[in-house]
Amino acid sequence: MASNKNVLSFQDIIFKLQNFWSNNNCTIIQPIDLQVGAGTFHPATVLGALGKKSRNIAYVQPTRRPTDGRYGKNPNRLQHYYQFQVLLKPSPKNIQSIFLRSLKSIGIDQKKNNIQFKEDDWESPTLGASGLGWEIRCNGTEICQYTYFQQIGGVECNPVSVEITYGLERLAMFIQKTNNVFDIIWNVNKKEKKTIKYKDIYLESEKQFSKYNFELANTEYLFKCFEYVENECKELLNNNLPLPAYENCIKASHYFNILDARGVIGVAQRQSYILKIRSLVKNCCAIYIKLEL
Amino acid sequence: MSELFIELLSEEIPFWLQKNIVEQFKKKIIDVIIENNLSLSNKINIDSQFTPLRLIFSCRNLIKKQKSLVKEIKGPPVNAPENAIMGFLKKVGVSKEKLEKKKINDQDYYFAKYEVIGKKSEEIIKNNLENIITTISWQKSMRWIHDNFKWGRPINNILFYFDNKFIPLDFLETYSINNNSFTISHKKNEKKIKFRSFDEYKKKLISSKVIVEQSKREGKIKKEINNFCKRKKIVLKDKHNFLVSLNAGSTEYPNVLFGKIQKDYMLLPQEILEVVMINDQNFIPLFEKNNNLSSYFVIIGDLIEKKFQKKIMKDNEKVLEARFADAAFYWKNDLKITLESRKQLLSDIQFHQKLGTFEDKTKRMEFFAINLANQLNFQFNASHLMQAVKLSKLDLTTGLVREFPELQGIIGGYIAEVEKKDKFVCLSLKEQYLPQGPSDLCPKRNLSILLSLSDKLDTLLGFFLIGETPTSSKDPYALRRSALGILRIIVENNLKIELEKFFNDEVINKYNVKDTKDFKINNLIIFLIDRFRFFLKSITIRQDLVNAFFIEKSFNSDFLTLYKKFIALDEFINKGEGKKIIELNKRALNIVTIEGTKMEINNFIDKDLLKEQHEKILVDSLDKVKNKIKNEQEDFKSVLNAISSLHNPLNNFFDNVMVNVNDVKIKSNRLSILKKVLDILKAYADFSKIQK
Repeated sequence: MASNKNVLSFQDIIFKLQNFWSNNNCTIIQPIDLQVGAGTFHPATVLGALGKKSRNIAYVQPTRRPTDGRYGKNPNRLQHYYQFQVLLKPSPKNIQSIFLRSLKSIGIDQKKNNIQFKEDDWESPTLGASGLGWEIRCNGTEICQYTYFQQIGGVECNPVSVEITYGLERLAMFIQKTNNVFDIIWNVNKKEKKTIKYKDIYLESEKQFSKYNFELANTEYLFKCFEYVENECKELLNNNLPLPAYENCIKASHYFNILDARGVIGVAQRQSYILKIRSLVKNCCAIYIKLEL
Repeated sequence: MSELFIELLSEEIPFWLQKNIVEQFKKKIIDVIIENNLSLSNKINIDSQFTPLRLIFSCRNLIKKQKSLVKEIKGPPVNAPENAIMGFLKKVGVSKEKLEKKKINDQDYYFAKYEVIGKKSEEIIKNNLENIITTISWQKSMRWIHDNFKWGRPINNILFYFDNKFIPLDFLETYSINNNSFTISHKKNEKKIKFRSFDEYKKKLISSKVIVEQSKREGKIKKEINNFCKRKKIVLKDKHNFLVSLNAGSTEYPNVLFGKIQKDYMLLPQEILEVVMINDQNFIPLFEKNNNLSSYFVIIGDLIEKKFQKKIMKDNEKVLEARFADAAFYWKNDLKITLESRKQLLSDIQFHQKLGTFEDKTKRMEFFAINLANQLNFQFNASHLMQAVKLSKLDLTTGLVREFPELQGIIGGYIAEVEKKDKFVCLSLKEQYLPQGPSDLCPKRNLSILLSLSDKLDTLLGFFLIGETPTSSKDPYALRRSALGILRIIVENNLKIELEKFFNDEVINKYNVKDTKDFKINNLIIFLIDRFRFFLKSITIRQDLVNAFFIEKSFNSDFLTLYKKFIALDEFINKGEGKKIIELNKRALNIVTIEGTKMEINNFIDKDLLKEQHEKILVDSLDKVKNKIKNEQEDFKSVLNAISSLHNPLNNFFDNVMVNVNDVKIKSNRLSILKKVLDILKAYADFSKIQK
């Protein structure tokens, strides 16, 4: 449906969501400038969900999952994509209807579609975090993840935050009625009558990064990097600096993800790496709370 | 006559959680009604319904107010110190003149009468509701606003009506839960619904498109599917009824839409299509009458206007096609590498850290398979058996099984078919994990039986060896399912084997487990017996028989014989013949239990002490029955008939022979006779646990 000029572009969807949540009491912040595996990893969410202070934030987060790369050949899979993340603490009473209105603001009307709340309890072994909630399906497509955090870094969340994660590419594909992620219209430049598509921006990068993640990443170097950031994190924790310490957890997690994509981590080893990261995150959270930040 | 009505409105609670909570909640309300005598009739009838968003309870036939009661309470003795008496007066709120005196064991005590004023039923229920909602136990629950109040998902509102009147629940404020007097229509309309009675509530909800009854939602889905199936000459399989329930339990107004699978994808192995439809989407597959997957499938939506149905159906088809395309891609890729050449890859996949790789597992399975075949005297083709075992786990290295783990075995079977392997080998690969659930069939072919048993025996013994045994709440390696599978295969295929023989040192050594000193074969047998009882409970309607059924300590782990013994008992009791034995057992047991506390009853019957004719006849019959049991061994029907034949002699004994005589020797001897009767019965079952 690329011919439809009125269709929401990828960037329009982001603008609309930002506006919607801005009008609903959220501070629109910017992504973390590190490679993360999910929008949740942003310190504004992980550390923000801890402690008593109320927080209402929303942001776009570029996200990397090296194992999901397909050299740009699969119409549904990417190793780099975007999430739109909302965190509300405490969770407002009428959050479900606010959420449904946010979908309506980008043209997904629950009266015209079949919106399902399908049980999906969330757990992040590396973050030592868990929550209950749903994946939100629209006519069968999973478009969002909706979670009431119960635990982060091994710490009980009190008050409970609600986290809503929109899969922006999935939403765009649904809204623009396209079957291929690379055909998503990113922007229509009305003056020049030019359409910029997802592939114009990211196809080449998908090819190159798939090659890097699966074939060329230097595993010996990455194992060492993991060790360095692990030690760095510990050292920072000794100095009561949980914020930079936590950034090193994010780095460790990304190194681990590439090593995983390279297929050099065995089953037993895998578990021990996850535990290493989790214990670092736990300590960051504990100190963050202790310092009442 | 008064009526109570409660509605809890929440965000979407998963079906499996919500349906369990209804029963628990209902029971708690009944307890309150019984405890406080609030019901007008003996039978308390609670109408309980649920949707993903609502729990609904109503009960008629309640009293408006409890009756007032006069109660009497014992106080201190009359000569007690004054302050003790004053304390008592204060406690009961009565003046001293009103106290009465009563004598107990030569001592006068004060007694006070006071009136307990009956409370309003609405007050009692209201005061108990907080306790009910805070003590519900969930298998999975969450906090949202309040620190330690948990529910399946956040509750939006709780309302309580009594006698068609809204009763505010003050305690809800503590938990930040709304207490509106109205409810909300179907979410798609989100309108307030006001009502005065439960009847009106139901009427208004139905017209706002909420079907509150799970059974009616299921009925609606089934009816529409059946109409469609009739037209297309296809069927809905019984084993997919759970999907009907799940979808009905996830919607308030189910709309049934039918999608179609594109021709190209129908060429894929149908189990792949089935798994993708069911696990990913909760779609319901439909089948041709010849058991092949049809190209139609069912999508359940929640209140979808007619004009949007086609688009929604098409969108859903598209999602499914994307998943099928994934599967087709893997299938094509997986066929590029032959099963045999995957062996190298298999040695990289851990079965369990302490139990080696899947290649190690396959080697042990070879050993189990050959031993089983020998013990069972199976006719089998040895090279086919070895081939089946060697190929059995290789599909774990395929992309499809990695993506759809529940297809393990099936994919291997399909690849073997493509590679033109023997058809029974292919079948055994597909059937090796059967049976998984109660609705699964058991493998019937020799090769499949051997492969399936070898796999499960290896798993079971392995995890017991390393001490990873199931606990009451956790069974991460699904050992219960493995054990149940073994037992069902044995029973359904009439296989006489002693499982214990497979758990010997030679086998144990093959596991290379360093420290097995905590392992006891007996624990494994006890675990199997426990599963066996579970299995028996699933096949009989008489749960009491399973509890009564006796399994000897010296049991040689031949579960087939044990099964036959149980079935004989089940038939015997259900034909009504058991009644006699149960009565007989009861009489004998009563006497022996009572007298046994007073004197020792020995096992020896002294024939010289037999005086009366009817005791001699009984002892003769006992000897005969004992011989018969010895000779008939596995003809359990005859054994039970023999036991049953004791009825007349024993009846005559009870009618004509006094047990409680003054001569202690004779009394003791007669008790020994009765004890022997009981012993004979006990070798079969504890008849005192069987209900008539």
